Amino acid sequence: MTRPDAITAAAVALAAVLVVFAVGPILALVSRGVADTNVLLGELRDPGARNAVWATLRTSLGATFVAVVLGVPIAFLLERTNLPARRMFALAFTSLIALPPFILGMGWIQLANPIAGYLNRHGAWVDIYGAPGIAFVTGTSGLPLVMLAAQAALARVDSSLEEAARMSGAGPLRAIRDATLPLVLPSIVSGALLVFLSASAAFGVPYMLGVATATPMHVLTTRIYTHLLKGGASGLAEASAASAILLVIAMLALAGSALAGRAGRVRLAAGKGVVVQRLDLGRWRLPITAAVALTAFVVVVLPLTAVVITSLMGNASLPIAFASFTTAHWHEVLFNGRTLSAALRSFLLASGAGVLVCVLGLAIGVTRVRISGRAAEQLALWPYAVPGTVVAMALLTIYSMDIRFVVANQVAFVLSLANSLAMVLLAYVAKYLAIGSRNVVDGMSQLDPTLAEAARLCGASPRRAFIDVVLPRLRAPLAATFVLTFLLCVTELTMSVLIAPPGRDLLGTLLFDLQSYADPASASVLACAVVMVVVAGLTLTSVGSRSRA
Amino acid sequence: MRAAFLLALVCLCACRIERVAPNGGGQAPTCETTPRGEVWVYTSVYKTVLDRLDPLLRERMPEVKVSWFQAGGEKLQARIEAEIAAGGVQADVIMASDPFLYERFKEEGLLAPYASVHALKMPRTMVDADANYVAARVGTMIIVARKDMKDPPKSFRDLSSERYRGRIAIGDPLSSGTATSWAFFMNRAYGVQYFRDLRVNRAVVAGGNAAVLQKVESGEADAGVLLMENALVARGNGSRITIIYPEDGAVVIPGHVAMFKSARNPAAARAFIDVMLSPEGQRAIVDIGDMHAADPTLPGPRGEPPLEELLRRGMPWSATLLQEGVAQIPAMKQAFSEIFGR
Amino acid sequence: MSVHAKSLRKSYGKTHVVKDLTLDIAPGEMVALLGPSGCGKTTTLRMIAGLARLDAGTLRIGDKLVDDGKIFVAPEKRALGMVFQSYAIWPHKSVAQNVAYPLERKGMGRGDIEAAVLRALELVRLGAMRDRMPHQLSGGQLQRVALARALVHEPEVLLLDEPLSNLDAALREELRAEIAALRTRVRTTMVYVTHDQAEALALANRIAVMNHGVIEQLAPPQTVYDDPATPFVASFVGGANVLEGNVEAGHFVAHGARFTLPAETAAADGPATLIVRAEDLEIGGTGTALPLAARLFLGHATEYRFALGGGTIRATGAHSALPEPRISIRRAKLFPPTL
Repeated sequence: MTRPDAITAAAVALAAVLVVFAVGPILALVSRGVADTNVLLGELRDPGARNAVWATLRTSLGATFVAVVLGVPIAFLLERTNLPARRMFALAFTSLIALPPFILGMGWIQLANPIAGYLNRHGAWVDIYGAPGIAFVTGTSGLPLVMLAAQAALARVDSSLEEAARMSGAGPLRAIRDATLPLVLPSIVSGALLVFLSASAAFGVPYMLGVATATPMHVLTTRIYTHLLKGGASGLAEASAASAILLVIAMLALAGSALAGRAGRVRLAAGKGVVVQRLDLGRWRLPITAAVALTAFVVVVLPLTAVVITSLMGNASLPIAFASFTTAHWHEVLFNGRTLSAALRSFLLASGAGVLVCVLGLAIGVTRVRISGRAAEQLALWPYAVPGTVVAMALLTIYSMDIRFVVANQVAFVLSLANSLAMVLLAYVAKYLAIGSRNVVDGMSQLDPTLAEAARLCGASPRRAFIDVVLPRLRAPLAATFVLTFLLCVTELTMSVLIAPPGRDLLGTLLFDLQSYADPASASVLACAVVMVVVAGLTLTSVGSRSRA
Repeated sequence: MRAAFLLALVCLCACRIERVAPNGGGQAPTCETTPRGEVWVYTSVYKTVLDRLDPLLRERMPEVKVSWFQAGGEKLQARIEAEIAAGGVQADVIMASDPFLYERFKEEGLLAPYASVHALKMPRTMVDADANYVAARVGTMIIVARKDMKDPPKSFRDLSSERYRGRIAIGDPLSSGTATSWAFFMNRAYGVQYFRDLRVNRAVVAGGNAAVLQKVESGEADAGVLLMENALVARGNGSRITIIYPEDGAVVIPGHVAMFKSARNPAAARAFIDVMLSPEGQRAIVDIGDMHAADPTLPGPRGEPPLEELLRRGMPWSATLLQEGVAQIPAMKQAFSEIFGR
Repeated sequence: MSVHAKSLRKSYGKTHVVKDLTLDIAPGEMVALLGPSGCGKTTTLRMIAGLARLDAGTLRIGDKLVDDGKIFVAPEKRALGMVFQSYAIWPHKSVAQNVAYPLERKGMGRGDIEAAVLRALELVRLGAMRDRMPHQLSGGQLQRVALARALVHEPEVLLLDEPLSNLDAALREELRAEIAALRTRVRTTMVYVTHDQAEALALANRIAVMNHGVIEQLAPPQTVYDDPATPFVASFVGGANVLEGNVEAGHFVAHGARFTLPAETAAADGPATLIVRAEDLEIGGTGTALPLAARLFLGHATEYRFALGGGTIRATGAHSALPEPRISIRRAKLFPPTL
């Protein structure tokens, strides 16, 4: 064993810090549930728990299916064909991630609840309640995860591989299936895993579309929530036991995904620049464009419109008509000093979380690839696999009190996270770390090590070689990581409400207030505003990157 | 080796350095007459109401900084549980809407008794005999119905009848404190069968009060069980709903305020409670909060009948009821969750 | 099978990559498309392959119209083989799987595929490597896999896009010889894109020298070399000296130096471009005196560089110890001035 270089050492250290700070509390919380075998057994024997496991699997697999079936073809069309208005479509689908899932769910309830939904006013034909609806809504909100992962992977695959298949007699679809798909499969599987995990850890949408209905159904997260609300130590233990079951499902999913993506985990051509030839869609251009536009309409425009209409409605009990519209809610919410400062705070925190998730993701990637340490990679998935409530509770149970390390009876190092924004940041980073680790590990495993070796032979130190050669090659996955983390954090609600320090509003806590105390209209205003800001930001960065290219 | 060093370094960077040696009391010497410093209040009172209470609090306690942790009742409870698990509640004062929570905290010995002078004028049923908590406000669960609903329900009992099949929304007793109190009274009056009937007749368990209101406003449900203040605000905003005082009695829920035994600033905590119970504080609850004040001399919010009339229309309330509630609610929640397919 | 391209045009945005290109390739012929990067040779090849669609013109393979801007036959329906510059070996398939792929697409039976794959791999001398994965192979071996894969389904036309440009010099020569040998065994029509004149000269039946999207000369290698049609062809193929100057009474004057023109090169007085190959300059004797700038030993001969104007003029000759720094033109070609 050679002595590890500085980069590897730093990565290992960072990964260790991560475990201590972020994953540790979750381990502690879950072990409460597992430690008492009676609680765990009781949970396992409960038919309600079994139903919840089954419902979780159904909705999460369904969501994964929706995200993959929509996300992969869209990614391919955007990245590899001459589809018109690609930037606009990319923006539209990416903006889904900026929409807090519960806002999306709210939009869909307004559109498609079986009794009074806008779409069902003239005969019932869509029912958003129940497992299929949950799968659809969580699936569409996870679509960008698959789409961005697949896009980043496609950018790394030379199109001559596909052309070679065409020249060998394969039709266009066959060529994609045989030449390109296996190589982007690890990234797709990785994105799909994230969707599966986020769907199985989702709370808001299953609650709205599953629990709060005439025919209620529970998934594991809503069950955890119910346990927690029962209160007391026993409630916490039962919630931990249910969380442990969720974690087992997550670990199984991880193992399954490792198996599924194995075939394509090969190194791609070393230093050669990738040539991407856009496939001419020919006479299919129009119908395919129409199909993509229709998808964008159903998946993005429709629920957003519902949210916009809600934000303009003076009152939900009025009929939808121009006369019922008012901009009063917009004034109320936007021209409010609190909204502005909350937005600023959330943007800063989300940016910080984005950067940290990238850095820690790199650290995990390096430990995974250089010393094949899988532990960090797997642990990073844990917070992502449990609902935000559990992460927040775990952090609160550990960090509510100051932690003091006393040195020589004189000086104390006090770790004081309670009621600080640092704890919110920690929660964000812990929860979304998986996005960084998945993206970076995939990017790194396809990276030819000779590239860094070449730099070493050119006289670069390991650190320089990493910065000059490895990092630039990881730009796409890192950028995707930052954007996703930022968007997920900027409107994060569950953890923010529990952890945010008093008097320091975040967008998430404001959304929650408006939603639960004011009215859905005001919450919709904020959601619309967030989506608009995010779309503007994405537009700016995409214009910026175009001018640089 | 280097890794370990880096690890230690990062850990230390996250820390604040303090001298361990004689900690000179940290806080300024406390003086019972002029409360000062910071007081932490965990509350489920709406933020807009808190904003409007702030000037009054600043005027009455100029040297106290009030820090709010504001969240729904269930989140409040979850946070307190987590803090207890971590070693201690961080709050000085709790002002939530679930009376049974207070009784439970009292039984667990978490609360510190404090008899505010203002407590004397409150109705007896609104004050804990051991002065552990006292009502600052009163919430009421009533029925709301869409204006266009034909033959709206007249009582809570009606809601479970077949006539309103698929048309009713109720709050979730598992996640909403006010819904818990309501369900407790229903359980007491009609037994578990009431919930079974609701389930059979496809009542929607919507979550919190805002969710119930939304279901009724959007037309997904025609009638629902709602906290009166939500209904009043919605009606004020032009919502086309009617408020129905159920014939079998509205559920009146005292919203208590109490201080924790572990409070780090007890003087300020007491001062805070005094302000909330003072005539001005009580007035603010009626005018800003759209709730009934616990002070019976004040009128009801937005032209609703005053507290005494409300108590007459409500289901009877007594101190023993609270103990009964703490004992029975877990089983009731269990029964409820089993009935609603959980 | 023959290939007929007539008035092909292709532009990407505002850049016209191929302008009015006409090219007829006879069955069994090997035509090299030679030119600097950006001359449109790869685009032409991609249009023949069907990987790029043409803007105008007609393209036939055999007597079948494959592209005229409206009718378009997809690449997989054109029965072609192609070797890519990047090899385009699928990294997730073994050598045998890579080579078997075109046959699988044809729907051939398992046993037949196996036999054909083995034959194709033997053809490129990779029979022992069949179960290796691509990352275990060297560049030269990858290139041979690409060749085997392009040939295994016995295509009517084989397209090669700079197949040797990613290899080192020794390997390149070895594979060049191998492709030449292959030509004797496989009578396939070939279109070979390269920027290396040596490859084109060595392998092709005819060379199409391309520049700025047009064919400057289409002729057998010998003609291209000996009788370049344009100064560009002359300088690109064989690296001739190109001098801008004036013809003055049987002499060529450039940068103050005065060279005597051979009798058959005589032309009317006036500005002109003179093309002369290094081996067509005679060193010593009665030629024009020029300062010697450098001397490069090439093995079979020595290259002398003489300073003229701001640049140098190259001449090859025997490696005598100290040559007389004088040169005279043995054979040259005059073109109208390019400037």
